[in-house]
Amino acid sequence: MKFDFVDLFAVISAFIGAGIATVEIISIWKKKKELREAEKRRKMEVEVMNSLDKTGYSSIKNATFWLEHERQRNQGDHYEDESVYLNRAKTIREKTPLFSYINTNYSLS
Amino acid sequence: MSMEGGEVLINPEEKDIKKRFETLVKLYEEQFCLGIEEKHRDSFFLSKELLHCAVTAYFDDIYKYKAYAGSKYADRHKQAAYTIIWISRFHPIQIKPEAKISTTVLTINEAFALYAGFMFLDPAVISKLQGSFYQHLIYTLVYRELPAKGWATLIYLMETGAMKGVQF
Repeated sequence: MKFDFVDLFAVISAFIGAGIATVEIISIWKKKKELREAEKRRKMEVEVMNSLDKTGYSSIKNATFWLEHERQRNQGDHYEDESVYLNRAKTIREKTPLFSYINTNYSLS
Repeated sequence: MSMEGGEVLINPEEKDIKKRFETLVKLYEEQFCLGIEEKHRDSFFLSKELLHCAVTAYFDDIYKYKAYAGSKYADRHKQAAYTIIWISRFHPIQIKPEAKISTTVLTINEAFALYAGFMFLDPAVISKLQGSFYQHLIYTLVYRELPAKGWATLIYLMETGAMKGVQF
């Protein structure tokens, strides 16, 4: 059997054709994959948007109000005349055991 | 406290500082010294300068807090907490070189700091205070870095416990 130039050309063409076809197939597969992922992302975004729409910003504000404003809860007492504090201190000195603790001494023995 | 441009952001009122300073001097002279046993009284003296520093630092802190929280007045737990912190930090009571040293004398600033802080609370709360807890408070002031807001929570718990009749 003779293997001439035409046959060689046919074999090389077949290889090149197969190569081109493979590259095309990979390219199409990649494109399809990208499309699938894009669709997936779009669906997720829609889901997030839907859940935000369901929650609503006003609901978020309602839910976080306590945490954000708790620090403003305590308004203290205020006395223009600070003898109030001194009177309390006098009562503490006279009626509570605080100074017996202050005057207690500890030693090694 | 001011920024470079000269804009004053936190500016405690001088009259508030003066009033509280005078209250604390009176507290020391008319109440605290009277409560301390006579044998210890000659062992220390009050540095009014250091006490003034403590009061100024207290108002700086309180004003910062009020600016953050939008409060007109700080609540009593924070008043007590910041007072305790700043007096114990500045040590306005100085021990004389010839003093006869005792536990009372060595912890005199912490004792005064607690007493000054307690004047913001109902005396009924302090009536529930026990010796071991007092010692623990002194220990905490000396050895631990409990921030003022931590002290405020501790004082809140003391008050809540006392209101339910708990001795602590």
